[in-house]
Amino acid sequence: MMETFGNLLMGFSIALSPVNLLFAALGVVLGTIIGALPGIGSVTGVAVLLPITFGMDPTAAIIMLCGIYYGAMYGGTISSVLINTPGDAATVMTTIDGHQMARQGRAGPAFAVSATGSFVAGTFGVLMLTLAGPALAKWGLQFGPPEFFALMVLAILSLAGLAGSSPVKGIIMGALGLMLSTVGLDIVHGTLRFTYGSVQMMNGIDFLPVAIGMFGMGEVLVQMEKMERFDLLETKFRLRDLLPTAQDWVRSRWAIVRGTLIGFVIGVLPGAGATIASFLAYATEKRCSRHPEEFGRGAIEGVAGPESANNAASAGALVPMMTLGIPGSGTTAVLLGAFMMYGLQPGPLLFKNHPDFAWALIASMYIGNIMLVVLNTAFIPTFVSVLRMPQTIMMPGILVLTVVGAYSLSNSMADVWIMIIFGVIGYLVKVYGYPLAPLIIGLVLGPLTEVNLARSLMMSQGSFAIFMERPLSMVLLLASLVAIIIPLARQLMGRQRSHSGVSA
Amino acid sequence: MKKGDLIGGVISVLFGLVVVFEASKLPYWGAQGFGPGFVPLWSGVVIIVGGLLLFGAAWRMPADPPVTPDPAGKMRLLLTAGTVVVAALLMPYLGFAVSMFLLVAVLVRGLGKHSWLVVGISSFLTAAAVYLVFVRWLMVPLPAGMLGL
Repeated sequence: MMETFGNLLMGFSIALSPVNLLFAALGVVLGTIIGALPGIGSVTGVAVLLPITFGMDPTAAIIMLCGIYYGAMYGGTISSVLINTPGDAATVMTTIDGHQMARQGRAGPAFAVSATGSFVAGTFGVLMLTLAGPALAKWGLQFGPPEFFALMVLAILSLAGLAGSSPVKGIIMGALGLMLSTVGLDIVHGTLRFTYGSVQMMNGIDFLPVAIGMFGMGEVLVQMEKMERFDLLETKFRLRDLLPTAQDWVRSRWAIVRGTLIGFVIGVLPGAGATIASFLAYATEKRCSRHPEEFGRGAIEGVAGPESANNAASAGALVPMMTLGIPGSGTTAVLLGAFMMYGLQPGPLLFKNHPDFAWALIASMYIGNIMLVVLNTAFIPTFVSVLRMPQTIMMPGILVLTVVGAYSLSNSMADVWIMIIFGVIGYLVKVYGYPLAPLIIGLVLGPLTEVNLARSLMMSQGSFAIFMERPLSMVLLLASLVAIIIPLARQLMGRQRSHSGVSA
Repeated sequence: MKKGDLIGGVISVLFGLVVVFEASKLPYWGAQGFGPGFVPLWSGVVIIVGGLLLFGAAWRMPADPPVTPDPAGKMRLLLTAGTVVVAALLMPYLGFAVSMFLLVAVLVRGLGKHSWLVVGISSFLTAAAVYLVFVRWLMVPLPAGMLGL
C-alpha cells in the first residue's frame, strides 16, 4: 500500500512536468472534440492522431493518446444530447433521454450530470487501476507461456463473440486478423510466409496503416455516403440553465454509483467494452427506477447511469491491457499497438521495467479527469461550436490526416496504399455488419499468440495436453469456448440480437 | 442483410480456401511442435467454417425488404474514395502540399457545394497545417514535388 502510494507520487512528479501536462491537456481537448463529432469516435481519433505523436517522448505520447481515449467518452455526450446522434458508440444510450432533456430546454443539467458522473466513474476507474494494477501485474508475473496463450485466445474469442451484432462475422474477422498477422517473416520459425518474393511484404502487414485505414478512412466513407443532415438543437448556455436542480442530483447520485460499478466490472472483463457497459447501465436504471415510465422522455438517471458506465469501463479496460497485455476493445487494441511501437510492451513486466512510465500514465489520468470535468461543464459552449463545422469540411481534413499519417509511419507510399486498401475494406465490412475490433486484435496479438504457443509446446515437448494440465490455462481456454459458443449458439438458433450487439 | 450475408459467406469460403491452399505449402509440423503453416491453415479453416455458417444462417433468413437506392450517396462515396486514390497517385509527383490541397478542394466543393472562397480557405489551411505539423514539427520528409513544397 505504502509502496503504491510512493509510486503514485513519483508518477505525479513526472505527469506534472510542463510538457506532460501540456500533452495531457491536448489529449483531453482533442478527445472531447473527437467525441463530440458525430460518427467519429475514440478508436478513429486514436488511430488517426497516432502518427502525430511520432518523435515525441513516449510518455508524453501515450499520455496524450490515452487522453483522447477517455476524453472521447466525455465529448460523445455533446452530440448525443444536442443532435441525437452518438458522438462515440459508447454514448448511444445517452441519445434516448439526453436528447429529450435537451428538447425540454434541459441540455445544461444533462451535461452537468453526465460530466459529474463521468468524473466520478473515471476517477474511480483510475483509482482501481492504481490499487489493483500492481497486484494483478505481480500475479501475471507467475504466468507461463501456456497462461499467456490462453489469455490471448480468450481476448480474441470473447471480442469476436461480443463485439458486433453477429458472432459468426466476429469469428471470421478474428481469424482474418490472425491470418494477416502471419504475413511476412515468421519470428518463431524464421521462414517467410505469404510474401511472394516481395521485399515490402517481408516486414509483414503493420497494424497501424490497417487501423488508420479501417477506422479512419473507412469511417469517413461511411459518413460521407450517409451524410445525414444534423439538426443541432440551439441551446442557451446561461449559468442558471446549466445547473441541475437539487432533485436532479438526488435522482442521479445512485445512478452514478451503479453506472460506475457496472461499467468498471464490464470494462475489466474481456470482450465487452464501454458500449455494452452503457447498455447494461441503462437497463439497470430503468429497472431500479421508481418511475420507469419517464425513461425515453428525459429521465436524468438515463443519462447519469450510462455516462458514468462508459467512463468507468474505459478506465477498467486499461487494467487488463496494461497489466496483462490483453486489450478488450478496438480502441485498447490500437492503444496496445501504440505502446508496442514505443517499445513499452504492456504486460506484467510493464510496471517492473518501466515504472516511471506506467505510474506517470496513471497519474496523468487523475489529472486528465479533472481537466475534463472542467472542460465539459464550463467550456461546453466552445465544444458545441465544433458541431457547427460542416461535415463536408471536417471529413476531407480527416482524410488528409489519414494519408499523411500513413505516409509518415515509415516515409513510404506503400503504407499509404495499404491504408487506402484497408479503408475500402473497412467501409465494406462496416456496411455489411462485420465488427472491426476482432480483426485488429487478431492482427495485434497474432504474433504474440504464436510465440506463446511455441514456448508452451517447447515446455511440453510438443504435447498440446499442457494447456489442459495447467489449471489456469485450462480455465481460461474453457472460458474462451463459453465466450464464443454461447453467442454463436444464440445467433444460429435464430435469436437475432439487436443491432448494437446487446439484447439489453 | 440476406443477400449481403449470402455473398459474404461465399467470399469467406473462397478466401478461406485460398488461405488453406497457400498455407498447406508451408510445413505443418516443425521443431517447435507446430510449423509455420499451422496458424495460417487453422485461420483459413475457421474462415471457411464461418463462411459456411454465415451462408447457412442467411439462407434461412426471410428475403430482404426492398431497399430504396441512394444514387447520390453512392456518388459521394465514389467521389470520396476516388479523390483519395487520385491524390495518393499524384502525391509523389505534385508533392504533398499540392495534392492534399487538391484533395480537400475537390471534396469540399464536390460534397458540400461550398463557395469557392470556403473551398480556397479550407484547402489552404489544411495544406498549411500539414506542412507545419508534419514537415516543420515532426520532420517527416513528405514528398516535395515540383514546387518544392
